[in-house]
Amino acid sequence: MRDAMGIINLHDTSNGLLELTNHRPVAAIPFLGRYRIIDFALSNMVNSGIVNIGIFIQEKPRPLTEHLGTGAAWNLDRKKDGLFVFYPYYNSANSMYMTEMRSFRENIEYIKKSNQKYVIISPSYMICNINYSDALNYHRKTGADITIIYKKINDANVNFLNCQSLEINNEGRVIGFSTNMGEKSEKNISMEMYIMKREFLLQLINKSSQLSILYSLKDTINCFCKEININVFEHSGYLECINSIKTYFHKSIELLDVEKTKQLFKKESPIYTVTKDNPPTKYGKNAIVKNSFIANGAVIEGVVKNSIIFRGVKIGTGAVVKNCIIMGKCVIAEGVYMENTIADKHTVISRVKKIIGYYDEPIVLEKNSIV
Amino acid sequence: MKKEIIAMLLAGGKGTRLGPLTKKLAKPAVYFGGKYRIIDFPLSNCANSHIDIVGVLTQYESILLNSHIGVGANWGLNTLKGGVTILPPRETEQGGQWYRGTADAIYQNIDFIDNHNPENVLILSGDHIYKMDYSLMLDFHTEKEGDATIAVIEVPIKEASRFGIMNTDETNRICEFEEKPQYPQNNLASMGIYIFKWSVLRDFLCEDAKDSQSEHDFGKNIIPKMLHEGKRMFAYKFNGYWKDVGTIESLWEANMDLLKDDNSLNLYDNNWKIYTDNVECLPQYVSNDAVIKNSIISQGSMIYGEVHNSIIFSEVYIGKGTKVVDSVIMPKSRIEDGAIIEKSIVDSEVVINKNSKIGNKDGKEIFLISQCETEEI
Repeated sequence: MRDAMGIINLHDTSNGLLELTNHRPVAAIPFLGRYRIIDFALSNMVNSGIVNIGIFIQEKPRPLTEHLGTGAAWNLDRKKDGLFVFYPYYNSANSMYMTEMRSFRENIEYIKKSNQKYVIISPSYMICNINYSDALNYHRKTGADITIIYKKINDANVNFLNCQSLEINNEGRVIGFSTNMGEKSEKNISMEMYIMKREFLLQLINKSSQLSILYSLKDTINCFCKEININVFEHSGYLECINSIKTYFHKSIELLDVEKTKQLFKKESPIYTVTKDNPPTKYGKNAIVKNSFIANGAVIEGVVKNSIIFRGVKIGTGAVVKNCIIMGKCVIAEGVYMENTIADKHTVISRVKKIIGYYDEPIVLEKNSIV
Repeated sequence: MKKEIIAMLLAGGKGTRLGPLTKKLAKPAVYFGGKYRIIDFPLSNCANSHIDIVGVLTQYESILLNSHIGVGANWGLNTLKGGVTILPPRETEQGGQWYRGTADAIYQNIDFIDNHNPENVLILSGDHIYKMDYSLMLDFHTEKEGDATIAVIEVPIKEASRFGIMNTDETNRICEFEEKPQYPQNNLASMGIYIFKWSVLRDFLCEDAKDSQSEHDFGKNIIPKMLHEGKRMFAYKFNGYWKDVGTIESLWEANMDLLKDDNSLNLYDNNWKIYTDNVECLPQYVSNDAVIKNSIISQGSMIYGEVHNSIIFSEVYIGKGTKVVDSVIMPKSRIEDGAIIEKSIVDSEVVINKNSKIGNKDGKEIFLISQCETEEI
């Protein structure tokens, strides 16, 4: 895998994440107690042996750059290659113009100067644990221009809504793209992971600028679909797409099923993240905790059920937290009752004693809110 | 450029009284407090006190300790031109030999210290659990214009005969030092933390090295000799939590101290974090059947049973129907279904079989289940 470089594409289609993305890109949304969404894409590449990874930030860079640091947490703080973070050269007031193709063009030198033969492009919001070696070998063997990694699903009517689905012919070639609107249950969901030669990506970038400056990578590939040979490689493991508040909430809570978690977190391919050097979790004399993930640094004095508690959270005596996601350093004061709620980082809940959302429509408390 | 202070951390001891826990591990590498090793405390104190050059003197079973410390990156000590240097005994032009005592270990590394050209040297040991700002002690040392400053803590007078006891005058100048006195006159015990003016200590070390009668020990030889020769030595009083964890019993007690509401070793202070090597695993999972009361549990553990008043380290599995009471379970151990563990220390990577019963919560002894054997202490 040393002959492949990685690109993490932050042009995630995510207009459904509202409050969680007001201050951060999708890639930087906290996930499952101690991770951020991008940790999966990064760890997958690193675990596959890729050591040259470029991240093209489109907007709201602070939370992400703070998280990434030097890349040391993913073993990417290297003399040769390593982690490279790019920003748009010029900001456009209209986000329509802020495509990843534009970022690629502005930082084309990085892609040109990298010396790997292949490039693997991945979005951040597809949560999975995948080793790219098999896909790359398959790509080499078929000699396709592009190989797209996808997953066959049979619950497309309720899952992976708004994701891209692929039309694949008998020879395994992609002949069309569409958006999953949930009209039928069997679909081939594109994981938006592309394998191609680095030279081919350079050509695509070049060509797309002649087409339209509004074109994203997806649009560009779609446009050339008939002229180029696009192959597919099937992923059969765990996959979820975090593209709305509902999917974020449901997919997090569903991971409380330990059997499901085992498919995503594997001993041989760990998911790396930044450590916060927190002490272990302290459970008080009155704590009652059932079916929950609790991260280090939390202090639990109250009741926690079916919930995900992040690092450094404090839950006071008599407080009840049910079906909730409580992000880093939140404080839930004594006697507060919460159900089906996502509390973003640093939220303090003390005055309002009852916060109840619905499982299909959880309440989201924005970062730093005091209620 | 002259350096104001560098630290030398003595981490070569075997810790015989910790029994099988130190069979394949130096004492400073013994686990403590749910995710740490003992040595993380002095190292973190150095980092938090802005001491950026630390020599760690290793000897007994040093491989694990070396890889744990590495270049000191976990403590943020891997600075440009600074950082942690591991100093095992080495061969020189005059031959080579083991460190014969705490003073000899420093003596054999005089060239390392000289290279940094420090005004003062801080001598630490890897045996104690405490949080201390060494920079305040250095301020005291500088203000007193002392040749040596010894950190002291008040201990109950009935325990004073276990320690090195200082007798001081009203300016905190030490007038007498007694190592483990039978009839202590005072309760100010040495914490084994010293700041020496390097030029002064250097002479005493060289002299001590030539003395064939000497045990080459700071407490037994260097400090009494300095005092005898009238050097300016001061006692620096420390008021926080400090505990020697040299025995199974004290190691268990120190862990249990963390569960007390009024415990003064606050691990949750963001301004004085204790750093360690981190593990890559999920947050801890607490199942529907779990009951957890007054306990500390670390990342990656899976709790299906009952845990009361206990410390559970990273990646421990506590099976269904188990009951863990007043105990310390070290990393990666598995407590299989139905087992009952009371007042025990379970070493790392140990499997406790189904339905076994270990320890007695009303008994006096602490049970130790080690990797190599099961043994009652």
